[in-house]
Amino acid sequence: MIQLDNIRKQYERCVALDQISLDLEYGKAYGLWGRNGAGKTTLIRIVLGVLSPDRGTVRVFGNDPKRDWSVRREIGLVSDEDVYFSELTVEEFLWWIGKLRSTRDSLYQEQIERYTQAFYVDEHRNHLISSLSYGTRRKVSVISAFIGEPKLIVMDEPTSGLDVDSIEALCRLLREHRQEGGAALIACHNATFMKETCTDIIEIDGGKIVRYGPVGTVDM
Amino acid sequence: MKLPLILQLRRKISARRQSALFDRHPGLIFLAALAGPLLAIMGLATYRIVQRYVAEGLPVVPLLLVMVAAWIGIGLSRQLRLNRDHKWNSFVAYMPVRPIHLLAVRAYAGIGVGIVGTILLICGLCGSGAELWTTRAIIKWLLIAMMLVWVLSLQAFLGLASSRFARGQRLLLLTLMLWGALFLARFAWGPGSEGLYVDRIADICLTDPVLVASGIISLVCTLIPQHTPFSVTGSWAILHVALVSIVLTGLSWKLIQQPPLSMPAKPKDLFLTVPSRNLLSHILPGSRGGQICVELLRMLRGPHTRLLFYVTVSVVVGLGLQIQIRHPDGNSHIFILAVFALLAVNERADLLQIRQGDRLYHMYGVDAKDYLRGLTASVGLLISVLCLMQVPIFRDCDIETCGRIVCVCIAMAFSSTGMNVAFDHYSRNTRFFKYLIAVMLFFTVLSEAWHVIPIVIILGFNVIRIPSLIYSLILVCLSFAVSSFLSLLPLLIAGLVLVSEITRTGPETVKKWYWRITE
Repeated sequence: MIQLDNIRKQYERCVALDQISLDLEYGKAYGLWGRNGAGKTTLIRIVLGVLSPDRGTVRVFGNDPKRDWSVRREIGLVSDEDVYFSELTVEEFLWWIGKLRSTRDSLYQEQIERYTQAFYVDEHRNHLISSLSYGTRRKVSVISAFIGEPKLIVMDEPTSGLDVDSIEALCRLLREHRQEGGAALIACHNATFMKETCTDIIEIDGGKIVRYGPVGTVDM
Repeated sequence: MKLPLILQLRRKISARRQSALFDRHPGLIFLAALAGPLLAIMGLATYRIVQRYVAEGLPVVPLLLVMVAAWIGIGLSRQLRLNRDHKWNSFVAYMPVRPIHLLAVRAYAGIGVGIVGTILLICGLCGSGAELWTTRAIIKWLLIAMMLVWVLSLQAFLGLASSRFARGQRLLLLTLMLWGALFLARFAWGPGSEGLYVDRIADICLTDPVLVASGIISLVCTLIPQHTPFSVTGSWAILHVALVSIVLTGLSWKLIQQPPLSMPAKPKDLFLTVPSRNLLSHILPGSRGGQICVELLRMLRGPHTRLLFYVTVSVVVGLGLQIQIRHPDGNSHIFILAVFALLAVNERADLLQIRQGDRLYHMYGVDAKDYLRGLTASVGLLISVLCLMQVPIFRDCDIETCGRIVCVCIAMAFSSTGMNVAFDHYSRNTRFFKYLIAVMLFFTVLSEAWHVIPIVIILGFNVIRIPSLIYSLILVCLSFAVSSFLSLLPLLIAGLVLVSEITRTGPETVKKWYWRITE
């Protein structure tokens, strides 16, 4: 599903990633583990096609994510930065996400019901995003990743700002997503969450993979 | 026609943002509502003036080039605003959006200005609308359509180049400055002629490689009387402009596939290096020198597109006055064109908006609480810049015309500053805007109506068969004088607002307000 071959990325004098080679498969959830500045977010951005590697090749669903825009139709993202419009209501924002991912209207309605209830956001559906608390806005961001049922879900610090119930709901949804044959790539500092959701852990330090294996075999 | 989804989303977000802005500043609702009819009246006047200008055989080349420069500049400011929309850029970078649809968003950002520019400037200059269904008219219409495509593709390309390349904006400005320097060098060392400086500038423009390559000179050639038939020059211009548009769109296509650079929502401060600061402190010693230095930096840093616009308008006004020397019977109502353009883009108070000004003042060791000195320094610098740009025109003018041009520059600086100050101060006061716009509208309508009065009276005299030549002439002269005065009156009102603002505000209020706007 995702093939990274000998990836290197450098920001001016700082090497963010070096010699990264991975082959990620369907039906698994991969956890990116490492300290701040280890290169997790850079790796995610390269997978999404937002950044170009200085060296090496990236293939997502067999295509170059930077050149083939349609790859992003099958990727749901929870970014570390705000990728929503505070001028829209929750429902409007999710509707646009669904439309851009070419989701059928009937399917979209069903999904929005399901996910807003799971994250206790259903009462805020008609509220402007700007009027919501930080935690609720993060929930909207998490829900948007699931709309359209993309094959790959990429999350950067998804638990930030979420309450305990929402983290549990997220764990459950990610497990269901994996069981349905989808994949996930998650960067997070919450060890418990990672242990509950991920099948494999990729530990990065100084831009290099230092450990990679099933969740039980890598210390966190 | 169904618009692409991402374009629909952009329109929705723009509408919501505008609505939120109106909620915060209720005065803007009246401004927007009354600006519509005001702009329509002034737009129609501009269209008619431009057509009459061409019909009277007045020099087209400098006017067209200046107008196109303003047209591109205004559109470019919208592209730069899109570049700074951080949330939007992040969203489109992560979402499945076709690159062609992103290009459509870029075109949409400039289409309003593009269409207004096309109707007012190019239609007016080409004289389209006067004739229909002839070969000449068809070529003109095609030329106008291609001009719109050309300007949109150029704006999109420039906007994308500045958002996709690191230091793209600075590179763009440097390129423009280099081109300007080369232009001035050609002007200074080129072969002298006995003609007017404006004509020399036009000659240099006609052979400038950048302008020739851009396709604008091909368009100019269709407006200058030539030996070659119009169908040939027109077709060549269409082909040239189309080719340039294709190349620019192709380059934009390449650029749009690159992820945008993350840009700060607000432009960064422009700091001087220590040696430059030391040099400046020698040239401009003391607190006053520091203040001028800070104001100069602010002027060059933030609203450079706005400054470019003021300069453009002042040059148009200067040219209009200068042209009167050659053609005393020519149309002096070029002023309305300048005023219209000024109003069309003066939508936000930028020139005096001090972003992190306190830091700059602290850095350069200036007493930031002295608001009045800062304000006067800012106005003085704007007047100096506007007058400096008129130097080539001054060379052709007598002392009286020079004086009039300087007066216009002063009026422009004072009125724009006055408007900005008033906007900042009264943006929550709807009543003020109601009165201001009502007064401006009243005088604009009156200045237009004044043209009609003598015609009505002359007709009346003719109907009742009274010899009325002398009365008619007096009335016509009077009407033109009064309408010119009334056209400038809104500017004078804005100037008065500024003066009253300065005189009635006490030191404590000034201090408080000054620090409020530095936040």
